[in-house]
Amino acid sequence: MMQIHRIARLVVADALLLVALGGTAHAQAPIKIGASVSTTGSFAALGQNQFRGYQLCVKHANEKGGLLGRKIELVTEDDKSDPATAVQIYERLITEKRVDAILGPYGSSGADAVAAVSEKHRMPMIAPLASTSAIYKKGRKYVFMVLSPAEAYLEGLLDVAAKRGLKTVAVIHEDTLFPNTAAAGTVEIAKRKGLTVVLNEAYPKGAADFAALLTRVRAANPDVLAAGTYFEDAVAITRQLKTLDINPRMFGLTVGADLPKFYETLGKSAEYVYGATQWDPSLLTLRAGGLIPVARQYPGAREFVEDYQKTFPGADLSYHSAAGYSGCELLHESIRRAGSLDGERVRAALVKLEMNTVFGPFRVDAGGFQVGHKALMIQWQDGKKAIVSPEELAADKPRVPTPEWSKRP
Amino acid sequence: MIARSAVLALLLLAAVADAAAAEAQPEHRVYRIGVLNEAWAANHPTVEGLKEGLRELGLVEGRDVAYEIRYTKGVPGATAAAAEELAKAGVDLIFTSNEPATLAAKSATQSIPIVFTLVGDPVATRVVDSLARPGGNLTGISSRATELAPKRLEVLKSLVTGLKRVWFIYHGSDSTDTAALASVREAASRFQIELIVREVNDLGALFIALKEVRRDDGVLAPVVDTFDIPAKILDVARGPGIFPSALWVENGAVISYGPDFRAQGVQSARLVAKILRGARPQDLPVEGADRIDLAVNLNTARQLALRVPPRILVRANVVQR
Repeated sequence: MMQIHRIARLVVADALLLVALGGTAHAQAPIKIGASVSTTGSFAALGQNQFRGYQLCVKHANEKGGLLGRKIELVTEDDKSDPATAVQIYERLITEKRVDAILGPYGSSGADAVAAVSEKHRMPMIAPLASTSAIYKKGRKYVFMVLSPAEAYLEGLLDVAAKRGLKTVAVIHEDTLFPNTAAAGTVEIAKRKGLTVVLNEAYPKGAADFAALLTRVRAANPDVLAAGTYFEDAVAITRQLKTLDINPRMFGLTVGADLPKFYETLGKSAEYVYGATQWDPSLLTLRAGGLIPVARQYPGAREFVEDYQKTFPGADLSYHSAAGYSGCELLHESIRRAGSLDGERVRAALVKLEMNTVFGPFRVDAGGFQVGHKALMIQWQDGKKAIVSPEELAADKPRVPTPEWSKRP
Repeated sequence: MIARSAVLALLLLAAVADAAAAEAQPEHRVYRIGVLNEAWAANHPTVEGLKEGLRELGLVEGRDVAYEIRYTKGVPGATAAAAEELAKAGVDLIFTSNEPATLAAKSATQSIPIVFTLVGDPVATRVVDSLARPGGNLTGISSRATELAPKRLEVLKSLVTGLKRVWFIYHGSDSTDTAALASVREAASRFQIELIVREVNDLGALFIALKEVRRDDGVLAPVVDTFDIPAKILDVARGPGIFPSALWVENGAVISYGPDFRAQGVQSARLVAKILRGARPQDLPVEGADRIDLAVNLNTARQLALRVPPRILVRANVVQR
């Protein structure tokens, strides 16, 4: 009898020990989320904003108890704004570092390249800053879009132009995936709105001198100049429009013009420039029709902005920050709903997910293409960004036409 | 001597010619329209509608009409001050949206013509003497709130099965909603719904009321923006609210029943144009808003776990997915 008791006690003690050890180890192992981030290279300005969004979201999630009872650890490497490097990084993160989940890299070319890796390993990839529709229309199952599509970036610009009776559009763009897509979409929209496209030209990535191209633009004499750009080229083109004294009645950019840094860099030369944006801090106080606060469509956005400024004092805050944060929010919520890190389950949760994040509405079709989110158009007016499209959010009117360079104060 | 007479004669001729010219070509006037409302920006939908309606009638902004817009963000004292300002500025006409702005304009001037929109019950709130003969210097579009408030209650009851309690929260100065109270009470009794009426005059009272709203309660949002009450109901109340226009549903409210705001602006343009061209407001009957929308937001319904019954879906002319 005594022996049985003793054995029983040992067994119980062993079992307890096992549970204690196993339980502690299990609770302490963090969930690893891997990503490549563009902290250097041509995407650095915006890539860093996205990275800060990821970091802040993980920080907040951990403050609120983590995910599935575990802390979250962000595991990242710099892809130097190079898609091929990003591919290698994700391969390493998944196979060597054994991350439990991933978040996408900056940009369309990066996401398109990395999608091959996420499809292979059947690991859902939310690509918060990849707006090119084609990425999500190749029959892929594991890639998810957050932004409004590239094709529609400049719709607001052309909408205002058509309403003001302008007639001609010139389109210039960097010769890479996203700007090419945005340009093609712009041409489509121009036709739909009865505007004539008088020029449509690409320039190589990394181009710094646009004099020859802009001289051809001047010769075409467009009412509207629409440019598919990133940040550096956006700045350079704006500067050269001034030096060459080229005066389209409206000038709009796909990326870059909506950054505070754009005005900081260009000063008054940034006035009247239009920029596409996917989100803006002013949405927190804006009212649709001057009446209804839109902030509720962006839950947590206020806290996001405040904490971003506290955690990263002086750092640039743009929609890229909010989109990054939102991508992480969405991954978190889909893992939570799936109750598991299993790729298939998380994928299934994402496809069904309908959610408002700090970035706004999220809803995708079966291929992961974004159908919920809406893009906006801003114009720099007196040093501030005014939302001029869509009309119901446009508390300020667009200033059309842009006065000639020589006639500006 | 001869030279001087000649000069005098020439001067006389010139003067006559001038006078003749002045008579032959009417001076091109740019009409100044003062705009007064309690919105948070210049693009209130009734104002956008007015501009569109006037454009269609040949009165184009910049060329024929200039708008001097004052929006007071639901701050009670600011509206009266803005009304005085517009009256002093000597505008040709004042265009108002909602009853506090209209009454403020009426106080500020008895001579400048006023055209109103979004006034729920122009007679009960003493904006006009009668709908057919407004008297005074005001006419406009009635948003028919007294008539529609009980219908809103009915629509809310259709949406929420087993609805037992409905809150009716409004600002004390809001005579439109006060005027509707009797018909709302009557409807509530008919539908066997407990109606909780809360007239609030400060933010503290407003938030106390809002916090008491339970998840399975309904809320009748007021038609007036004073104190931002409708927006706060949308934000804070746990139970579903019914709002006066589709604009709310497009921005997150689950359901609305009432006249479209922009359409009232467009409708009012005819009255405004007539008055600018010489008609007197007292001779122009008040019109009832001609377009009533039933709008429903299926996303919000899903989030509130509300099943939208087919009879609402079938009647709804605005459906937000």
